[in-house]
Amino acid sequence: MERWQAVRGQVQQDERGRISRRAHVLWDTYKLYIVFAMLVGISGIMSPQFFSVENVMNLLLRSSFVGLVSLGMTFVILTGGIDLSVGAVFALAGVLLATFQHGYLFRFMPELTAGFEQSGELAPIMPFALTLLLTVSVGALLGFLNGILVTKAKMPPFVVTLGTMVAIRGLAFTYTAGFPIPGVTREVQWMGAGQIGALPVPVLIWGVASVICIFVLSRSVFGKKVYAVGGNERASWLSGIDSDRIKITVYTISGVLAALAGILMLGRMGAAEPREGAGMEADAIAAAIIGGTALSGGRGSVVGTIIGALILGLISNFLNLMEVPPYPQQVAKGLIIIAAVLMQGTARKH
Amino acid sequence: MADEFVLRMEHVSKSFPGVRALHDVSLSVRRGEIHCLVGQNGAGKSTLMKILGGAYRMDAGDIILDGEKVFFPNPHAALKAGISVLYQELALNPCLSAAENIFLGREIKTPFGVVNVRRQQQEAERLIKPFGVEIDVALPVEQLSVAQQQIVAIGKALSFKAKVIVLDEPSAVLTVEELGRLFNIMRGLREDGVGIIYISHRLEEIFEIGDRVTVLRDGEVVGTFDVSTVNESDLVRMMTGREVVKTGSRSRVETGEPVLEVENLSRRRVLRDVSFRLHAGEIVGVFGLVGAGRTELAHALIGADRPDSGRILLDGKEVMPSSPQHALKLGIGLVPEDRKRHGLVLGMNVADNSTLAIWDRLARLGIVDRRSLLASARESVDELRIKTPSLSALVENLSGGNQQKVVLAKWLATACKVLILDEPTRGVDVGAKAEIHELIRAIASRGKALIVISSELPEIMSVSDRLLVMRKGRIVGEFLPAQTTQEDVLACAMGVKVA
Repeated sequence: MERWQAVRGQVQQDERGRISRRAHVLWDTYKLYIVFAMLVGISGIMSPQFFSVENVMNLLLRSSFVGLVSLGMTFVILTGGIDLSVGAVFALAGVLLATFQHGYLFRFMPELTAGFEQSGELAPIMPFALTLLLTVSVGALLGFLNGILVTKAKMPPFVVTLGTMVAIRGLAFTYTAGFPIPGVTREVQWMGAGQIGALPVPVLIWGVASVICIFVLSRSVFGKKVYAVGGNERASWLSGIDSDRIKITVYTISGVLAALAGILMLGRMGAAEPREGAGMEADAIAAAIIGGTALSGGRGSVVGTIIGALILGLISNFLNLMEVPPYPQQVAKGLIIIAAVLMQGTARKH
Repeated sequence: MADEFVLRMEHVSKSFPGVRALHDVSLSVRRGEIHCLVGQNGAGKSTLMKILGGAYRMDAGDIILDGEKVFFPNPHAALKAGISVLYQELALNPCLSAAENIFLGREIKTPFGVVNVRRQQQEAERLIKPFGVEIDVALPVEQLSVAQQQIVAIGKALSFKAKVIVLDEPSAVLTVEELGRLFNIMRGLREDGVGIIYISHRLEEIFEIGDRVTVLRDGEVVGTFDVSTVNESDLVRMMTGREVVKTGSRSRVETGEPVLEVENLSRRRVLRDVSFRLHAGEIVGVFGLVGAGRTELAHALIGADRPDSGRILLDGKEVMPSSPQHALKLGIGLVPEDRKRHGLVLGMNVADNSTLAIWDRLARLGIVDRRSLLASARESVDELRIKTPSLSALVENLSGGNQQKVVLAKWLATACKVLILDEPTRGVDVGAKAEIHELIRAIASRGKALIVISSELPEIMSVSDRLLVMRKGRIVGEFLPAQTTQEDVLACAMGVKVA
């Protein structure tokens, strides 16, 4: 009898253990979504306007810029790198495109930019598509440069992109002598502030870019190599993977997406501002990390990053709805980022 | 009781998961004695010394220092008790100067509690002076040569006024002159009554400097002898043991056109004039002691390191692999020694790891064909009998033997004609070892040309058709395993003539 009870007790304990283990596995797999759902739930309860189409679209729109940049950041972090220059590339892209639209390929001088302020006249130097392509190419080139410095000069990514961040930001200021360049063409305005039905165009672009990135990372050989290089660069290299090429490519992708986001921002604001995107790199990195991408590389996903960017947007949105003033918002946002990462234990030791 | 022995280690045993490293080992060192410790790679010398130095805990046994039973929970405790162990890997902080390294943690201070840099440097110079080498004790040690660093490390050991000093293969990096000076210092210490344990692969040194010698084999003591009562071939015989390894099955001489010809390959000081040929379906073993240049040879063949001179011919055509990618295209692959660091992406699953080197082939327009990837992985898992719960299991959760099989699978999937296996069974258990040996033979019988690098003599004797022995970057001997003994091979690797 006693023995029977002991056995039964053991069985119950096993059963309980199994259930808690299963719950643990579930939490482990879906914690990011659970955190996200909880934030959505809290927002909905605290503010009745939260679920209005207008507010949801606003939330998506505000997230789309960091969202785009953080997609590129995900590629870079997956290889074990980091790209601090994205905010500066973001700003430079806006400034460049605005310059092109004001009739100059290359304007560098303070007195010339002073002219912009007065007239704000538009005189695109070439077809719109071409200026767009040119601007994105500059982003690609700067990313490529980061990649070359990281791989061929064998410098730590943090140092390389810290340097290029400062230099590129300086370039953006030099271009406009620190002044904003007001006025953009309708096409750019449409890209940044237009809507298709209720859907803002930047959100659409973010969505399309996300789908492409998800596909590339999960299905393409390149995507697999990104994970392999981040997981163990030496082993991948010895297995015949050209790890340098992979790394150069991810920095280029990051540059392209940062430039694209910068163009959208130019359209949204209707003026180029060399100060734009300050601190963008921090948000983009935060989005990736909240989304479960490991800073050591080899682990993470685009879907995670998208949710991460949405969580960041959600936090701002929520604090706005709560009418928290901007400065305390910063404090709260930082703390919530830490809490979100703590909750899902991304920082777990390996 | 004033003991004749300054140190006695008694009945020391130590096991690592799956490996019995030391079994009932006893070692006694007299005051003022230079006690040599010899044995093959993996015989347990370094493990024994790490236990003595407090870096490992023993499972059983006693350490008696100066007649008192002691216990070292960490290296610092051993150091304080008077035991200085100089490991093969130097334990110096590369960013600190020689003086700072020597007095790390027990800095000489001024009355104000500030480090007295001048005094420290003077003291450091005094310690290093007997070596007769100019060393700037204020320079970060990373700017010193390896030999100079070694001297700093020895100087540091001396500064502890140690009762027992362990020198683990110091001669590997010292020049003849420096070694001579080291021997003089050792003799001086012997006069002072210090017990010295000296480990070396160079047997001639043992006869020059040693008083007694202990031979270790497979984690057990074969015996301790006065140096005057043994000769080099006795030692070699004891290190290998007398057991006869059955090998005959594979030994054969290939004729016909070689797949790979290496001619006069040299690279700085690590490879000198290496030449050999390799035929399809042949397994050539490369044996040598630590630092003989085996891994360096492998790296040169796959373009991970560029040789300074020499030619590599593949199917009669001269090639010079410039990178592993290039070597892979040419058809030369390396299954690296350290599977965790160089062989696998631990965070990826079995399917991805086993197909890592052929992703490009499994893809169309840059998109991976999942079905053929999984089919290829499935084939590997079945063929190599990799025990894994599923193809999507992470390799970090597999056993060592199965991990090694995944690495092998990765390279088998490539179309490489020449495969180099560097220590293919390191850290796997006995059962998996036999299985991997069988796999290696099966791979060769499919017409691949294999180079197997191993520091385990029995393994390489049983698996290879032909055996090359390396020493100091050169190929110093070629054997047919069936027609030779482990003794001869080891003697050759150590540069000893066997009577």
